Amino acid sequence: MSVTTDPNQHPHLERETGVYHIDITRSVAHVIVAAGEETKRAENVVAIFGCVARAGVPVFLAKLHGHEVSFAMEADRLADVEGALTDAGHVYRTLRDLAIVTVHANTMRDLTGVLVRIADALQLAGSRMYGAGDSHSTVHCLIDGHRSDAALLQLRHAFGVELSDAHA
Amino acid sequence: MPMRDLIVQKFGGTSVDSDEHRRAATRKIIDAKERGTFPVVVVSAIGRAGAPYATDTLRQLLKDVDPSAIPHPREMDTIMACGEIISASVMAATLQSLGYPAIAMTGGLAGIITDGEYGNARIQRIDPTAIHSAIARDEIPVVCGFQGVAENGLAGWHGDLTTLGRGGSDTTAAALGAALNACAVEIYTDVDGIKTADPDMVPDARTLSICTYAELAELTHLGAQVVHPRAAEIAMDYRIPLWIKSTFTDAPGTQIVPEDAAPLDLQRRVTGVAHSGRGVFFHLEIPDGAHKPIIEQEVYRLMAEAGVNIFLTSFSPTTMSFAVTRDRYVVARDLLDGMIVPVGSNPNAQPASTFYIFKFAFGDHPDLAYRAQRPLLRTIEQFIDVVDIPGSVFENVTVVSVVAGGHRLVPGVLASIFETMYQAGIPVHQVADSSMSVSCLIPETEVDRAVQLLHTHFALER
Repeated sequence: MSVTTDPNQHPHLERETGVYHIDITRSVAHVIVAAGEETKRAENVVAIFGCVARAGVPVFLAKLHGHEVSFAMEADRLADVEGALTDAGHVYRTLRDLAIVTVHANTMRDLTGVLVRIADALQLAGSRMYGAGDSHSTVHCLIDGHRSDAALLQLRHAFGVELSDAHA
Repeated sequence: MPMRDLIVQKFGGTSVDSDEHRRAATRKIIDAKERGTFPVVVVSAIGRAGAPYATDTLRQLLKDVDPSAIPHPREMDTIMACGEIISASVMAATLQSLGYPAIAMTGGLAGIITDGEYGNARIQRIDPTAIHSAIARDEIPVVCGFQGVAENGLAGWHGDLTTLGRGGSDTTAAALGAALNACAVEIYTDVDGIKTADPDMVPDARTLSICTYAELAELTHLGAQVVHPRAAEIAMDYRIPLWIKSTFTDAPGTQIVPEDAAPLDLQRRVTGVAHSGRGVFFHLEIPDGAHKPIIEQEVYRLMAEAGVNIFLTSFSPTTMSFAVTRDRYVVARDLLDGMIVPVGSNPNAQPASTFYIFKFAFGDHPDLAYRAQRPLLRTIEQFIDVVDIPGSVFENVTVVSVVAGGHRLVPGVLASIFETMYQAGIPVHQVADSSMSVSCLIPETEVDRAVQLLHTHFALER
């Protein structure tokens, strides 16, 4: 939504519910690291994120899976993380040339159907979703970088919002 | 009249629940008046759940009329709004008794116009004419929080009374601050500002002297109950100077400021630890990677159609997981139990399609729908593949969050959270992060310990 401090310039005084903005972060890498068996998983998760932290690389979209952990990061720091994980003996695989589309909504957790609309839009855009994360105000989706423009268009259409400055 | 001399002061239920507390509240109002500002007062209903005029008590009165029926939302809003009307009347009378002219105003009289969604209306606009008139007469307006009236035609034909939902009085105060271009909005409560953690869990939680709008919004969305997130958002959008203060002390409270007015060290600090909600975490094993996106999409669609919000979503090549709030658990599990997703494959191949069926179990006993439907599929298994999708659930989980604005710029925040949880033996089922926070899904039984440990780890008591 546009933000002005003059309430008379707002169509409504309060924010409307629903999706109001979509933006893209490009040049993202995704790292999936084996976390071992259930009995060792917690210990290994600590070791993996400690290893990445010592490499000085901030991560986001971190997720725990059955026997793996995954996270996203800026692609230009990937070599640092690969080096650190290799040195520490972790087994991992990486995906490069990804992008994160972020759908912003007010009171996201009071809305139903946002995820299915995102999934439908990404399917129409021919874009696979490699990961997703959500907060009270956002849903992040990790997609192929080369499909990000098509994804943005489809998401924009699905939610009826204008292209963001980030895209321009 | 110079608008910048207006100040909105909101008093919550515990600030108006006794004569002694109301006197403390009136001292804040009179102080503002004596300083030369024009106070506009917003009040909540008197007391909390169980008190005779509290909102929940009034709601129950209507429910008791016919326990087998759900009361009409219109009448429910009308009765719920009575709590604030009583409170505003008593507060205005208290001020009058102290020699300060005051006038109680319903939300409608104060010009608060909402949409027509009973029980959770949103403020569309405010016509401040009546408030300005009261101030011009040197009367202190005492406005009922939590309520407004719908625009004609939106809900009913004569401007129905509507309520704003949970935390509605905070929303009223912030919205009035925006509409009146107030020089400040002061939210008075029974704690002396925004704490670094719930003081019931962390007795040495520190009161923040300053906090940004974004930090406040994040903390409130993640469970800190000092002010409602909608009020925080209005304050943020209109850059209203906002304070959170105690009715019962003279402590300075917490000042809320825009990001660009905040000291640099606020932009990369760990602000606090919050906790919220009771949930259930679902985990599904989906063996076929090629068909997995279709199955995920069907799960999302089913939940959406049933009105079940899911969060903390994640998926790997062979799993998907998500959380639902506790009150939607039975619905979600019933929906998924025995659900069949047919997926067509190559029509020239045999079998030409695969049926995926969701299987949940208590111990060794599969849920009812799976037990009933799985045998039926055996008769067609020579023509199709039938694949079970085993599901498991973690009941009684909750979310603990560390609010840290710069965590995506500073390496190691996530690692230190995991380390803290691991050293304490607290299992983390899943994590989620926004630009302002990192959240962990943990067993509900561990929430006190997790909040205390994270608070200590990030040295928030200093």
